[in-house]
Amino acid sequence: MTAVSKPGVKSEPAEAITEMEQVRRAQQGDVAAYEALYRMHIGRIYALCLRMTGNRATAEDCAQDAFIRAWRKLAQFRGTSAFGTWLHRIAINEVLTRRRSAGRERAHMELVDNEQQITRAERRGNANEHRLDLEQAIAALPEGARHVFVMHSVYGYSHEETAGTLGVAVGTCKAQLHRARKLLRANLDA
Amino acid sequence: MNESDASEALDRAAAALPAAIDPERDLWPAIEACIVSKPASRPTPRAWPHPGWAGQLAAAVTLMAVASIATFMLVDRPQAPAQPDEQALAWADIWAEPARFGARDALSQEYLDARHALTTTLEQRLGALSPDTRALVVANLIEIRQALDAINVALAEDPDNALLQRLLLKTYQDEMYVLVNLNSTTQPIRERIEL
Repeated sequence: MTAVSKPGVKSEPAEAITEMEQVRRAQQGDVAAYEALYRMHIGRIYALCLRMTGNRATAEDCAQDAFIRAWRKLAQFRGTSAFGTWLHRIAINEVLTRRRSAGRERAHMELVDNEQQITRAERRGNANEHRLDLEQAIAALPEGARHVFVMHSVYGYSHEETAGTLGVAVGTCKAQLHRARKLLRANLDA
Repeated sequence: MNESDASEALDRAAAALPAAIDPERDLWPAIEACIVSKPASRPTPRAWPHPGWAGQLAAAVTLMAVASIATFMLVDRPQAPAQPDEQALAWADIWAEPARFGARDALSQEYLDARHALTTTLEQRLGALSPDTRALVVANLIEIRQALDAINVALAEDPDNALLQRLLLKTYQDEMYVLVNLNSTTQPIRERIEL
């Protein structure tokens, strides 16, 4: 199972140097440098959008628009946080901005191909299958509970950060997390 | 396993989910098309039947920035009742035009439905904006629709022109981007932050 990386955390100093250089070039209008940044981060940004929205098409739109928005705001990036962290924030805001847009109602995430759609009982014992179960259960959560669970439990944001980003009280955030866990356990144990 | 242990196990499993998932399609071409759009610096082929449309397209593409700025003005403005004026009437005519893609190709029903839903919602919300803000938003939307119309006319006369096809697609994408942003940012604040 792949270890999760918290938003913006880099594993290699060399990568960070390269990334900062790419950011500097992109800030000067270098589209190729920005494409390199896109290649570095699209997987994480798309994963975040996919888990927050529970819908592939919407997640693609959100990720795409997040990179467009980030390009336009690139001059405002001062390097006080990691570029990935900054991108994460933009992507989360993109998801929240469009979550109520007409015609983009959430559908369940379709992570499993038809031939893989076997019963849960048959899949027990396989880590990847448990992961898919969890991904699907997260996607099926009500929107508020899903946003809190994804930000707090998957990506490691604190309750204060999560509540602040979502525009709710910390108490509401904790209540939504409790609700999410309860629903997930019920779903996964079913 | 008690509730606390089960929650901890759930959080451990969640934290261990893969940090990255690749999208099924490469999003970069669309992103690049959007961020490098500088129509004023694009060469304009002389053979195109409607030289005037390029200027309108330039306006349409740069509209996104204008519209984005305008949307920041929308949220906290005092609300005023809708007052029909000439601009609104002109806009109503243009707005009623269905989306099309030249004379030969068709747009997907899913896209048409989404566009119609966004347009309808936006129309309802425009009435609650201050007259100045509404005028700015409507003027920008009119320019987008006029640009779309001009490109469609050109494409009808030259249906195999790949550049025209791409420009039309891009302008529809820009329009959708503006519509989504306007719809999102004109929602009442209480509705937007509700969890």
